[in-house]
Amino acid sequence: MTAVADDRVAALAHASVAEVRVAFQQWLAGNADELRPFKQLSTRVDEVFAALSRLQKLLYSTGWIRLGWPEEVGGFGGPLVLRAVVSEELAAAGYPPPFSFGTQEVLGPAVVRFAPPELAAHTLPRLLRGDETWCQGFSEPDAGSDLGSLRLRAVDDGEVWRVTGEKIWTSWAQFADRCVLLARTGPLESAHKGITALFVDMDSPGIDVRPLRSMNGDDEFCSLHFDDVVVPKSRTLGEVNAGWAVAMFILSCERGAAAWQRQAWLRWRLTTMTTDAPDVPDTTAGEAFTLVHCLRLLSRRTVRALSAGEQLGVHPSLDKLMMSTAEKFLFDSALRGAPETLLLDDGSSARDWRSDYLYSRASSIYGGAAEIQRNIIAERMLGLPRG
Amino acid sequence: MTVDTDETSLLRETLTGIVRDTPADRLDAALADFGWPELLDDDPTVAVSLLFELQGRALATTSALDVVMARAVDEADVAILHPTPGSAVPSSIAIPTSSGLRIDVHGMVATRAQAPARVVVPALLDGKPVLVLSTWEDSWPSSGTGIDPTAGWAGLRTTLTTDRAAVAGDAASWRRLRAAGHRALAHELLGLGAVMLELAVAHVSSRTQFGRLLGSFQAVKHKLADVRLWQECAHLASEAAWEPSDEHEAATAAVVAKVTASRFTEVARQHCQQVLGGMGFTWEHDFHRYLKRALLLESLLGGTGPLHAELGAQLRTGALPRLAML
Repeated sequence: MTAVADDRVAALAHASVAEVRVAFQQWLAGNADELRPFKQLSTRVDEVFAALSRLQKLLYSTGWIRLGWPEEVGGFGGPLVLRAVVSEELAAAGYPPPFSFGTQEVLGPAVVRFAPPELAAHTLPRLLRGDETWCQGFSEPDAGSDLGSLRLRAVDDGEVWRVTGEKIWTSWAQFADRCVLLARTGPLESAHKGITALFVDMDSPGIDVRPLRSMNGDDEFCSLHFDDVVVPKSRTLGEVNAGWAVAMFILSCERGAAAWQRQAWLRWRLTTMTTDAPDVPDTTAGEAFTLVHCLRLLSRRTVRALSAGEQLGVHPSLDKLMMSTAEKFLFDSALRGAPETLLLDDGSSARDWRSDYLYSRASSIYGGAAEIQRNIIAERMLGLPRG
Repeated sequence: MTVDTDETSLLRETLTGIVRDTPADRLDAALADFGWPELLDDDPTVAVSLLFELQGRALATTSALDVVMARAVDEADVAILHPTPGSAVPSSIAIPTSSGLRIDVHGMVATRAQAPARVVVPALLDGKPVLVLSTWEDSWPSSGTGIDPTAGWAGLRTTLTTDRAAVAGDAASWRRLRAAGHRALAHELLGLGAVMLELAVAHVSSRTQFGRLLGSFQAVKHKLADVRLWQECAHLASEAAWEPSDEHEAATAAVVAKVTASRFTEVARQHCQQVLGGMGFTWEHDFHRYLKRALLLESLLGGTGPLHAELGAQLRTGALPRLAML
């Protein structure tokens, strides 16, 4: 296996989507033996995390995940759509997305767009390389769907912000080196107009991370407590009190680009369903395929728009709503088709199905609940009255 | 040749006027005068997507579906004997006899003022789909029957005898014929569903209950948001059905387009009807006309159940292409 990024991969930044796809497929096939361990992951979260970091490092050193990122932040250049090709082929071949893939596509673009250039140039290569991971500090106990009423406060203290408050549902915060944090910098009544986005080092004194075990048994989500944490002003993302734009951009990446990765994974899971749950009727399997394919069509449009630098508008709300609809339908179908596997077996395949089934229950909650997406679609696409 | 965007909007504008203002019995002639058959040769994507969506919106009827399907198997001036409602496979049966073939014809046809000279009959021969091309000497339904007589569809049962050479196409030809129909119907369903949604949005944006606009209730918003989601999916799927050049991929993308468009009108029939309240149940309100037309077209060339089953069976054998590539 090639250990350092070779010129051939770098040159692909200027090749067509089809050429990049074929080249990456060939690389995956040619290195199947060395990559095989990544298909069978441990059930322990820390071991999974370590294995996926190795995968991330490998994909960086071979150059594949540098395609489609600007050269200023450690990429090879080329259109964003190349990132979507690499993540799709990885999933199609049955490999899990490295953890920070989610972070990369969700938080990476925001740091490129809103961080001071030297900060982005310093941190993004480290993220892509797998040297560090990031987390997202948005939700609070009383500000989930109603994100605009968040209370975690950042007080202006000359050269620094002093941050105090609580965040919840932050994925993988216990492993994260940095956090994109939304903080209140205006009065509470200013709602979404008084929020500032900060890029915080997780080893700053005063941050307490407490994992919350979720119902599939994983310690994924965490609650974070900030007690007078000092954050340099140079770590402000975008303008002061303009953090809402950063948040909306991140959510549109999550509902859009990250959804592309999800559909590729769901498509692979659909194939495994026909072998692992052979009693799923053809009509159900076909309906599940149609739903996943609808997500693919919606998400393809979003990825193309992001790649062309176009505005996404409210479209990502459609993507997000279809993502949870498709994901829940697929795993409901698997449960009905293979109840013994999902409910009684303890083999590794059964455990994966069970875990994925349970995780799918959250798909209509995280990243903006389905109800919020429906409100957005009804009010902003159909013009129905607010309130 | 393909038509560019400016030309397309001009075409849409002109076609809209023709479909809206021409009496039903003269619409085919008006489309011929306009040059729609030539447009179909030059740019089938534009010709089919524009006309069928307008047809759905205006509840218009033309002979265009048979024209488009026949063209896919290099035929013209023939009527198609479609399978029975709901069936995704031929429902006529061809039986070999000592002198040739006997075909037990069972299906549905588009009505015509005069009987066609020739027909294409999709049929099962030894359990496999074939296309039989035959002259037609029988009578032909001249007015629509059933739930929506204005749609111009009628059931047809008869027996046809032909010689063996009448088998003009194999299973692949049937798939090609059906795919052309699926793409056209997807666009027509898009037009029907769009009007149902517009009627519902207009109603809930103007009527009040408990002192509030109906459309301000979240229960109402969420139903219509789901309709809007399926509209978007149906729109993208019907566009994407024109992408593949490979025949198997094209046929599969056409199934996806038809099934997704049917899903859109199914959801629209259900939710738009509910939020229209009693008004949507009256004869006076236009909603029922769209609902009935949708019921008929959703079932044509395969309802959602049989089409989903086909996709599921392909998924199981690994024959389902990835489609909609970046």
